[in-house]
Amino acid sequence: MRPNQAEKSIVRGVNEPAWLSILRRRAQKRYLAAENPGLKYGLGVSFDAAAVAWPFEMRTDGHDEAVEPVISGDRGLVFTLTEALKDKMIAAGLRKRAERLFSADDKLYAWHAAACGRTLVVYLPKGYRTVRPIRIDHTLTGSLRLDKLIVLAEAGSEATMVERLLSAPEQKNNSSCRVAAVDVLADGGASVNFISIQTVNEKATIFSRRRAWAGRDAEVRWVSCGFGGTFSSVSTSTVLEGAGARTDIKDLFFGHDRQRIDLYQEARHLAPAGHSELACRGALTDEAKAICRGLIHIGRGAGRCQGRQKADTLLLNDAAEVATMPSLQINDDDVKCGHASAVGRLDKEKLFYLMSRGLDPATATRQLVEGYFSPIIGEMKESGLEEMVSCLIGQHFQPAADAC
Amino acid sequence: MSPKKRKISKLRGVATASPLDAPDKGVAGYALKPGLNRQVVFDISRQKNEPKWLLDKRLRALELFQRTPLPKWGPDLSRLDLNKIVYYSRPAAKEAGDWSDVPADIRTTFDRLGIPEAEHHVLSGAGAQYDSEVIYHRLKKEWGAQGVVFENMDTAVRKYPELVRKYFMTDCVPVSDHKFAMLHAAVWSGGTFIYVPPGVKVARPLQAYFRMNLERGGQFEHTLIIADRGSSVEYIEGCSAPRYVDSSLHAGCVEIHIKEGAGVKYSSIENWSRNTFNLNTKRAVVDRGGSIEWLSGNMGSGTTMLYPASVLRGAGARSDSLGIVFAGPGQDLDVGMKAILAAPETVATVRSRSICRGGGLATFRGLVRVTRAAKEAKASVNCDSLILDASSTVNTHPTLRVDSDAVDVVHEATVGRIGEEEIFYLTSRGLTPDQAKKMIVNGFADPVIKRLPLEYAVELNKLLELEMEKAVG
Repeated sequence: MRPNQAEKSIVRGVNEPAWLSILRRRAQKRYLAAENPGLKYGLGVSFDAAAVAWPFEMRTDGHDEAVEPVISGDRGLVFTLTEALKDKMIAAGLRKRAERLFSADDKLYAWHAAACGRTLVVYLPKGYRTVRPIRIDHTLTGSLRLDKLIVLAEAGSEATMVERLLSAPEQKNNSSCRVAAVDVLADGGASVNFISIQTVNEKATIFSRRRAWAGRDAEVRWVSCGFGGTFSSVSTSTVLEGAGARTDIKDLFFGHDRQRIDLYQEARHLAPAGHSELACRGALTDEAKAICRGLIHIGRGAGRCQGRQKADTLLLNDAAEVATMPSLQINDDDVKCGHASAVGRLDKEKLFYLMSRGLDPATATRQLVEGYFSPIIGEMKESGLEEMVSCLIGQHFQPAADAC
Repeated sequence: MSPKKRKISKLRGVATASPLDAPDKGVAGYALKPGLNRQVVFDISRQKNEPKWLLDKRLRALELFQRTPLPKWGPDLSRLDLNKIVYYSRPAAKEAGDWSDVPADIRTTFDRLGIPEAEHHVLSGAGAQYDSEVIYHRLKKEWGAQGVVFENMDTAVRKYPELVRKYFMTDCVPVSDHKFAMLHAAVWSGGTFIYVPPGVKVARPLQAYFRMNLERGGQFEHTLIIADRGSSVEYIEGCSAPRYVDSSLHAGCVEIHIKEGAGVKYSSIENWSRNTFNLNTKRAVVDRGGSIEWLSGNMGSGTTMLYPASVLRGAGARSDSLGIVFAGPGQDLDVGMKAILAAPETVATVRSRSICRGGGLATFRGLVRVTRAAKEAKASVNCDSLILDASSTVNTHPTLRVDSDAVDVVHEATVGRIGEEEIFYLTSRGLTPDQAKKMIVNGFADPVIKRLPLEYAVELNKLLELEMEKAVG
């Protein structure tokens, strides 16, 4: 993209304070200097980057659709960026962490930091607890959608957030792209749950980057379920910067047709006595392909930490492909860390057993796959999405009369 | 340590940690000037009186090497100055078939390493290489009579041209494989050639020992093993180099061709001195029903990049690899294992144990690739690491890539330190904490040590103890 075009991609005229404009311009510079993402992760482990529709290469004028997300649950805590900047308390909180919130390591998110105007801020005051989950529903209606969610969780607050992303029914044959960023800042003792489910159409390209910084004894839990999209990339990372912080990162995916799924999970322990659990569980059928990467990093001096990482993939078809790359970087001796990954197929004996009890092959397979996913579905209790996820998985075996 | 050796180490300003770190009294011979260019390659080839095809191969490799950038991943290689390395140096000694014909000073070195004695007692044959040239080679008569070939690689080029031409750096490790395989192909010298005829099972191991003595030297030995149908052989390699101020480079290459139903066991203990860059390539191509067993111990060197690979291309082929790494102060050991399962019912197991202390960095980098053709294949990778203090680092980067649904692939890794309870238990039984630590480390390495031939197990145990003494002493 030529510089003048990139210049256009910067958000203007929304009365943003000077400090934010400076950060946006800085991000734009980084975007212009950066190379296109290569999607190469190791020997023979890569996606064809040329086949991915990079949003920053799309025509930028008039792209961003106007439909705002529907917010339900604790509505009073959710602000647009403009509203948030008007509130002194929230604006101060944002400004304090601005460098972090508008930082980006790669081209795509540098562009996003410069160009994304649609930003929601969830502000959880000290000690506040949500009664019901905050639910945010996004519907893809146009060709491109950029959005960002910032969660400021003050000390001792607690919240569950549920995000749902789907394509509008009339979008059936249109390709679309969504680039989303979620940043969670959890202060001492705060607890944030973020649960998301994505069921976009088969022509959509999805990029999600989720980051969290967990303070002393704070807890951040991520659960994400991906079903749709031709290419979907979800990267989730938590920096455990306070002693005793915890994080859980769980990804569930079911890939079919020629879907490409790119998952990354990271826990960065910078303080002692942290705890991280990373899990990635998926099934692939048809010609789908997934790459699941993970990293547990223990910094020097971050003793008494524990980190576990697990990646399991079920291959239901010969043409499906998976690569798993869990990594450990351990710089302290007083740790317990490990990772495990497994790739396999459905247990034929279990299948035979179920069929001997009178189930037809499709139902038996469905039950086994549901059982395989149950540990992650169980994590979604509070979200009200459990049944939907089961239904979406079941669809692959017995097309249901009505959509989930 | 003798007064003379102490003097040397003082002069160099480097403390010699083990007897093997001390350089031998120079055996004046012939050495090329440092640096690499076409003339160097011509000179090496002329020294060896090589056929034209081999010279052409060297030159092609050199050209590729010069065009190829250094790898962008893995350990830092910036301290390796390729222009300072002496690529060929020949000791003033001819290859001997009897230890008494080997010049006394060289012989002392190998005596200290225990090679002649081991040969006498437990081996079917032994070879020894000093810098770029092999100085000793002998195979017991009974095996020669059955058609087994155990030769110096340079001799094999002359005596078995068809075999060498067919198998040398062709489809196992092609010349163009990677930067240091290209370098190896351009300047290789010496090494071992083994051919085992169909059905012959060599009962006792064959062994070669590689000693690099020259300062800023480079050793590029090539090992080519061909196990014909239904045969089996075990081969052991040991390596060491004295410690100098400037870095030396070891870029060897091991190619193993395993035909239908044959089996090869390859063991190596690499104990290069702490300023050696060990950038080694090892690979086996296994046909139907064949099996390869890798056993490796990596203790020495400053920087190591070594990932023995098994290409299982015949149905039912198997690969089993077992490795132990001990990274001490200043060491960056990046080792691992690759297995490519490209045929039905192939099986690969990888087990790795790493220990690090005193700021050492131990990295496990593994790749298991299961292709679509590999129906009913099985692979398992297991790596465990032990960190002995807070200044050391362990990384594990395994990759599993699976393109077939009819497979079972699992991977598991753990990192931890020695538990307080374990030490407490052992001290309550009357051991000192240091003894307890040593015992636990030895126990951790035990699965590897158990599989080694007895003499090597003793050597490895001693090396481990030596490392641990530095750790706890």
